[in-house]
Amino acid sequence: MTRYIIKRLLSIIPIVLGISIIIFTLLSISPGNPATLMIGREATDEQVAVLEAQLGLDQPLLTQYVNYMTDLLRGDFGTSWQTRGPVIDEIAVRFPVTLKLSVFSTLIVIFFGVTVGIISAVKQYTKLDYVVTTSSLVIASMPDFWIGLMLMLLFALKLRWVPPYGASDWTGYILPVIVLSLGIMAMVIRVTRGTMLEVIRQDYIRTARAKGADEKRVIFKHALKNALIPIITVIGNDFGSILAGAIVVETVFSLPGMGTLIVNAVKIKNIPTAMTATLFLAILYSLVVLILDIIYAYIDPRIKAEFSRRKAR
Amino acid sequence: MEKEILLTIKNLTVKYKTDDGIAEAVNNISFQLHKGETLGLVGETGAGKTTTGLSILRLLPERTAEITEGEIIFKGENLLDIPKNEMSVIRGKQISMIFQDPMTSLNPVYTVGSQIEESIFLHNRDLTNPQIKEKADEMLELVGITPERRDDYPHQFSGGMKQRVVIAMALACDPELVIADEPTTALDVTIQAQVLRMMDELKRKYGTSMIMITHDFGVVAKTCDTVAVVYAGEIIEYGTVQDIFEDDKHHPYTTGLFHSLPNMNQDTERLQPIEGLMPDPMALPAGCKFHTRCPHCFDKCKTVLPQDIDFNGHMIKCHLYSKEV
Ligand SMILES: Nc1ncnc2c1ncn2[C@@H]1O[C@H](COP(=O)(O)OP(=O)(O)OP(=O)(O)O)[C@@H](O)[C@H]1O
Ligand SMILES: [Mg+2]
Repeated sequence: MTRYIIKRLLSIIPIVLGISIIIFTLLSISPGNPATLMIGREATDEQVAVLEAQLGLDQPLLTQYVNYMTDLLRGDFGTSWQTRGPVIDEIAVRFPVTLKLSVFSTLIVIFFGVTVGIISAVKQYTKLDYVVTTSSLVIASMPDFWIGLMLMLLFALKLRWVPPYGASDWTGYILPVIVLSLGIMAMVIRVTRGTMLEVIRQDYIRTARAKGADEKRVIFKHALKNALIPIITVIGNDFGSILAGAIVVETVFSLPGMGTLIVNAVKIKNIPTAMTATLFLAILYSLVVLILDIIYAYIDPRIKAEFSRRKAR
Repeated sequence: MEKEILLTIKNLTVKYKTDDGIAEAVNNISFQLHKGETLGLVGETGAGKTTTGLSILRLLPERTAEITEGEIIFKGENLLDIPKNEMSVIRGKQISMIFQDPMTSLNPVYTVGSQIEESIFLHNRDLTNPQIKEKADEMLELVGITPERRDDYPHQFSGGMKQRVVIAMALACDPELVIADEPTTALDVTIQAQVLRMMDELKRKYGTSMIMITHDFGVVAKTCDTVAVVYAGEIIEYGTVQDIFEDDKHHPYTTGLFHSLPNMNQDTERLQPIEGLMPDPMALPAGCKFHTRCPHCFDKCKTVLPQDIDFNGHMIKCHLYSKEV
């Protein structure tokens, strides 16, 4: 198991390399000169040249990339071209917002998605099941930002129950969390329902009933543990969607999180901030996926057997 | 001496509703089982044996299967009348079932030990954990698996070992009735004999009654007191083992089954499998359901459903014998 974890941790390195090359290339070849963008329209050629030299923009692209990466390896996460402060300080301020947003959304997705999915499966073909399947299909097919704008119109602008933007207190998180979780929750409901229905048909469920297990035990002890494996896969993939969705939602609700940090950095071609913030999220995502894989192993003995090198008896 | 009746099935009829039509899997089956006796349900694949077994425990797939008619009277109570959630008290404790397919009958995410323990725990809530463990180990030993393997998962077991775990689970609470659905098909001959001997021992020790579902007449001869031959969801012949193996009156289907067995009778020179296939349960023929394959078929067979002809308890559902009575 430890060996497997180390192997997986090492495999994050090429992922980070790949992502960094892609982002760096995209940012560098996109139109606009960062120095001009920073100083503004009235910038003189001289000012621009000075700033370019300061930022190292006069160097060839490859040198710029190599410099950035070597600094990164030394533990220097770069200096924001905008604030002139360390990027790591910006992330320290912004990340908690995104973290709260994604953790709350993930918890809501897991809790409601799995519960409603199970209920819907157990009550297959009842009115309740139809309502759940239809509404989750509708919700899953609506874009996040549209749901966000509609909810904002209703609850923030019309009813004034929650602030329309910003995160001055917890009420500012209500709408963003709902918007972020709704679509993904709908997907988790559908997957949970589908897998539960599949698992309930298996012979070992019949065996459990034949032993005298009551319905509650059959569902929660025998069926759910088997259904969890595909459900966790979906939730793991969805954590990626939640991170991506956070960027959209933060923009819609003007929340000062990683999403808005990256979007603003990209707008003015603030390469160090954009790079470091994106890589940070990429590594975070890889770690979450790894943790989920370890959880699998604990649920499914067949996977665990593949991990551990214990000799077959 | 009047033997005590444990189970009476009267006119059991089960249909499966599928997208392609209605499958008449069990048609008007009736039989009785005495305490301590074993009844064999014999017949080709698709005859409706498993369906009959599942009906008794009310474990048929809820949405597709329907018991359209009949009574299943166990110890004086019609199981079809009791509320669904009360069946869990009977299942595993009074009636248990050994399932046909051991490969898929065990839950892949729990250890075999814990699955046997669960069977015990469900019906013995007063036992402590160590007591339950001890009893589970006992069951494992009983079916010939060393208790050290209790912490293994089903995927680490061979098919035959899984089958034995399934048997251990079914027998864990000393049930009064065991429905054994081809309990030995997944086992090799030596283990098969071992398992049958073990089940026989239990039968003698605890007076367990059994329904032995099989298509193996060897198993029938070794374990059964009475035999019901099932064809297309009907019992076409019923009698004691002596009736079935020694009487010279038989349903043509039973005769056919015997002729299709290797080494059963010295005087049968060659294997003679019954010609044709069992009718599709979605389109059963009129009259005798066997008439399409019967070498003795005459006109009446094609239109009139034969009644049971009773020869002192040896029942044969065939027009050939109706003139004799
Ligand atoms: N869930 C189901 N849905 C539809 N039809 C079914 C279902 N289960 C069984 N059947 C049909 O009912 C008939 C009887 O099946 P059953 O499983 O009782 O046969 P069996 O005698 O146990 O056969 P085998 O020896 O192969 O186990 C078959 O024709 C089968 O196709
Ligand atoms: Mg069967």
